[in-house]
Amino acid sequence: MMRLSPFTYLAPRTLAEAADLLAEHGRQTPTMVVAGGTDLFPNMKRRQQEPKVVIGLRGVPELRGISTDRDGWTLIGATTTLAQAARDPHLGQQYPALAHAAHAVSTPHLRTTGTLGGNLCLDTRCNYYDQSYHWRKSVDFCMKRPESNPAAICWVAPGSPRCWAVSSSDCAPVAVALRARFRLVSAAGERIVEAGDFFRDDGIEYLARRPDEILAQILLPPTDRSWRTVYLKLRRRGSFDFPILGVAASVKRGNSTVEDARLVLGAVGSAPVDATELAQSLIGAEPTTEAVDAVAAQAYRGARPLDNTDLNYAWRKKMARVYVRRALADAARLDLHHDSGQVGAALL
Amino acid sequence: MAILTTREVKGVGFTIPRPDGADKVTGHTRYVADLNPPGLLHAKLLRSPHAHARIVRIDTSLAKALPGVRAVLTAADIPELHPNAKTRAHAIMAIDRVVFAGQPVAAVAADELAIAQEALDLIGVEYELLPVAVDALQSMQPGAPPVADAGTEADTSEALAHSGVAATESQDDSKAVNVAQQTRLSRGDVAAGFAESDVVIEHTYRIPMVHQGYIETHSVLAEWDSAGGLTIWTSTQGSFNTRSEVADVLGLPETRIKVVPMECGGGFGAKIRALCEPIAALLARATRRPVRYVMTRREELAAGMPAPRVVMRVKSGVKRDGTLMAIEAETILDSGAFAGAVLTLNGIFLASLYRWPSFEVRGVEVLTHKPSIAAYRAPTAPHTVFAIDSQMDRLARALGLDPAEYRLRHLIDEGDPMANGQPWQKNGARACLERMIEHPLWTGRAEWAASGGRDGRGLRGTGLAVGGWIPGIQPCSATIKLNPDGTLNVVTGQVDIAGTNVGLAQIAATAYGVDFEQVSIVTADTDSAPLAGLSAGSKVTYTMGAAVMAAARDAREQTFKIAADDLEAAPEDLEIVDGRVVVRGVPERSLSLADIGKKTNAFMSNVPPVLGVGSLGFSQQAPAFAAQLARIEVDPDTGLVVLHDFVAVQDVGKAINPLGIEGQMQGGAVQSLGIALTEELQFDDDGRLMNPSLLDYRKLTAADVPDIETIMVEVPAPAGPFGARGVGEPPIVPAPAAVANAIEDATGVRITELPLTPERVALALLARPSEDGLSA
Repeated sequence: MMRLSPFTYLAPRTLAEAADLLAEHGRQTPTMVVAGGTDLFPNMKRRQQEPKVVIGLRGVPELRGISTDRDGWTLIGATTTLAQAARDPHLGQQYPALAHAAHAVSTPHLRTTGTLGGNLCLDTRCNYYDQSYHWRKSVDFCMKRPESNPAAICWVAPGSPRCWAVSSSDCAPVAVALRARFRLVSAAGERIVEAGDFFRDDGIEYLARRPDEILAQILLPPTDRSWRTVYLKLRRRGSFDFPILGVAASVKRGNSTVEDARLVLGAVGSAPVDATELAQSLIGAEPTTEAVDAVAAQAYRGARPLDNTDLNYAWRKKMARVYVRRALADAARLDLHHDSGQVGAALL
Repeated sequence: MAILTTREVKGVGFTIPRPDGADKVTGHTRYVADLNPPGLLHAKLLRSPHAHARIVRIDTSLAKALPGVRAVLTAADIPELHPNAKTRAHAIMAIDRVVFAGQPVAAVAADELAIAQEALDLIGVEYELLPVAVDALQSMQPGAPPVADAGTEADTSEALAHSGVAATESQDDSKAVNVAQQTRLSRGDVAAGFAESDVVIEHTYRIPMVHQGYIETHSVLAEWDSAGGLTIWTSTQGSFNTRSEVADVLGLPETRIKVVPMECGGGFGAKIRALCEPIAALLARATRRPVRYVMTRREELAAGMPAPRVVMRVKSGVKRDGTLMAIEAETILDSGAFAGAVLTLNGIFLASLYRWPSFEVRGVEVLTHKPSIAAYRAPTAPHTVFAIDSQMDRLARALGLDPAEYRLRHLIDEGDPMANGQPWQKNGARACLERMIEHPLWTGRAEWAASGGRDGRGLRGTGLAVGGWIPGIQPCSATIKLNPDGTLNVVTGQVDIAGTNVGLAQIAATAYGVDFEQVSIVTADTDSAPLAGLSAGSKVTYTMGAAVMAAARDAREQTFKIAADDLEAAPEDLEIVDGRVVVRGVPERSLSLADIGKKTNAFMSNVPPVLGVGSLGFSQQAPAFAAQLARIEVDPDTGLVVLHDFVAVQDVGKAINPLGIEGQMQGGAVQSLGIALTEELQFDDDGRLMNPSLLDYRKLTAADVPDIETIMVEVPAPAGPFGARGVGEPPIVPAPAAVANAIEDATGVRITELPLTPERVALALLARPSEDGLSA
């Protein structure tokens, strides 16, 4: 196996202590926080990230657990494991799409260690970046991790001025669709950001989190039975694989008509793509297959998959249309069965 | 073969769990990587990041100066290394030119693995990049960049080791650049056959390189003694083969080398040939310390010895009533940087799995700048059967005939000529297919298809395929001794990679006349064991089982001779009952096996110990076949294929240990389904592996595979012990064809390239032809 480079591991007992340590060490030396470590440690072995100080959040009790406040918001500690989130009865009842997304991450083993906060902060992924140091060196590195090469390019889009590494979190599109907020804590204080503002469409600077900030809590707004949120994940195998497409759709229904709708696509760019504006064309009418199809026909154009994850990117783009259609229909409680006479119809 | 036991014992045919299973699943089994002798050093190899480059300069001075580094070797330090290496083992390191990405260029031994790793970063290598031939079609073109050094002889020993089927005629004339081997098989007038055909179907089938995926990576520990003797602890499929190969590479007499075969955590053909043993031995020699080298998973995927990429163009013609007329095929087999493919059997299965009256089948083995190949469980048979079985399925559909009946009508039988002129030996190909045709999932396929495509279901289909392998043979020997407590020890040099030791104990038990618990099998090292062959080619039970049986019968005769003197009876009147030698019909006249064992080990006794010997050569191979059925559902919008059910039928000759065979059938099927659906080593245009991890090299998981129903049929192999035949390889063969056939059954589209990815299925659905692509 590959070896970790040496680093100093600090284990604070409180969030304030963690934030202080991050501020103090982060000023002088590359410093990162780690929760489950299922993303960071393999990356460190491949030398994609090389912090000299790593601040572990596992010993901070206030970062764990799921609770509700008096306003009906649900508060999830960022180091709540994906396995806990997946099987939590409250989440399962109120926010089943988030529980489902947590359950869809990686494998059972990694979900018992990996955390919800870690999945939301997941490093963006790319076939040219998620390689060992020696592999990356053989192509003279890439702009996401240029190492010694200041002229390192993007191998996926060689003329591009930006990095196209892919947001590959299952929970991120769901968090955006649920209009979650994130509590960020630093030595200087704390702030609440909208999930939609937390992710940035840049493969390198993919989070709006400042280097001295710790994602402490995920806040989910109150919901009720009129809302239904669905997450559909496309991947090759039933386990292990990162999403090559994720679609989160939320539809609020009144007696018969759609009152509100949201739509977010994951793994089609460097950040979740919020296509809610398109989905809102459903509002005010009874949901129909045609209306959902019309949204799907527009929404998939916002997907910009490139040739840097699994399978053919043109096919993945087409799949965005199929999955948007299915997710929206499901969220709208619309029965959408394929019909043998329309094989491949959704592709055309 | 008649057996002399007169009473039922717990032996052949009993279902017996592997005694080593508990230790394996609880982590107690010791593998090479668990060995920690005093003074152990750890090795790492610096591997070329480039697929084809000249090594201008290597500077190891910084690495050598790193504290804890005990040796740094490059080609210049290895006098045993010569150009024109015929195998990967001989090409210990690149000399002045690297020919695939991942080829070793330097080796380090250090006190700790982390130090060795750090030392690799301190080795400076200057490369001059050379043009790369990644694709076999490019590589065959005139002017393509050369892979092998000029004048290198192709190595065909792998083909011979794996199967004794006589080679086809070889065409050495006018070899194109990078063509290592050419074969041609033909019979009859192919042109006339096509001219008289009513229906001709032609497809090109493509199968990428796949990795065998054993859990334990290549691992070796080497140590020299002060007298110049070399001991190698290794994960191998054949300790004597490894000894011979290392002796050849290092120029040592075999008596100076002892190979200790450790528990082997999977090989599937990739641990037949030596790979890391020579460099570990050289580092140990340079440091005078024990040196251990364990490949990482990344190294395995990028620089192991995978299965070849195969492209086959197959054209076949039939009469309107289905009569086979002619088949013509061209196979291009991409072996990577070193030759050694089993090309002949590809031709034999293409041309003579079915009774084609005329055929012309040509094959070329081509070298490219990619890691070189090794065997993978029935090497090239999954590829070949994917092509020929797909053809048969298409022909049946084109003619409106039942695809299973159509195969059965034309499938070979005992005595039919193989494409090389030899007759097919007795086999169960037809029995497997006949059994599968009765299965409810086959007879109910119309209902399954009709249930798809509505109520939210995808398109549903069922496919079957039949294929197999011609297992190998190799001389082997075993001894068996009677212990003073009446138990028996069998000693062989046969590595147990599949639970075969249980079967050998069962064979010994039945042949000698005791329960299998009384028999212990010892796998000894090359100094102590009688000669044994590879644990490869589905032949351990077939060959070593026969040797153990012979040894047990010999021991039984010796035992009876001793007892006969004591009991004053003729040996032929004796039998063994419950651990006692008894005079038949006179139960009070008996002697326990322990009594006999003690007589042979008592001080001042004149009774010679019982030492049964079985030492055999073989001439008759026993073809081994399987039929598999896949019941699937295809999402018509995405092309995703879901496996609902899978059935494996296999001719096992005689099930020595049904549980062990079931494991082989299921494990093989899972590997076969991985080849069918997800597995592919993906190289970029520069020959660099894009998916060198098990995250991106996709083996199927438990979430992807349905229950696999196993059904054994028994068509006894005339020369097999108790009729047993090889069971390891056939189950990896049929699934790619079975799944492709099921996809066509469900959707009407035929995919001819593996893996059967959703994008391929979806694109084919989009491009569904208005006609079925047939030409009259």
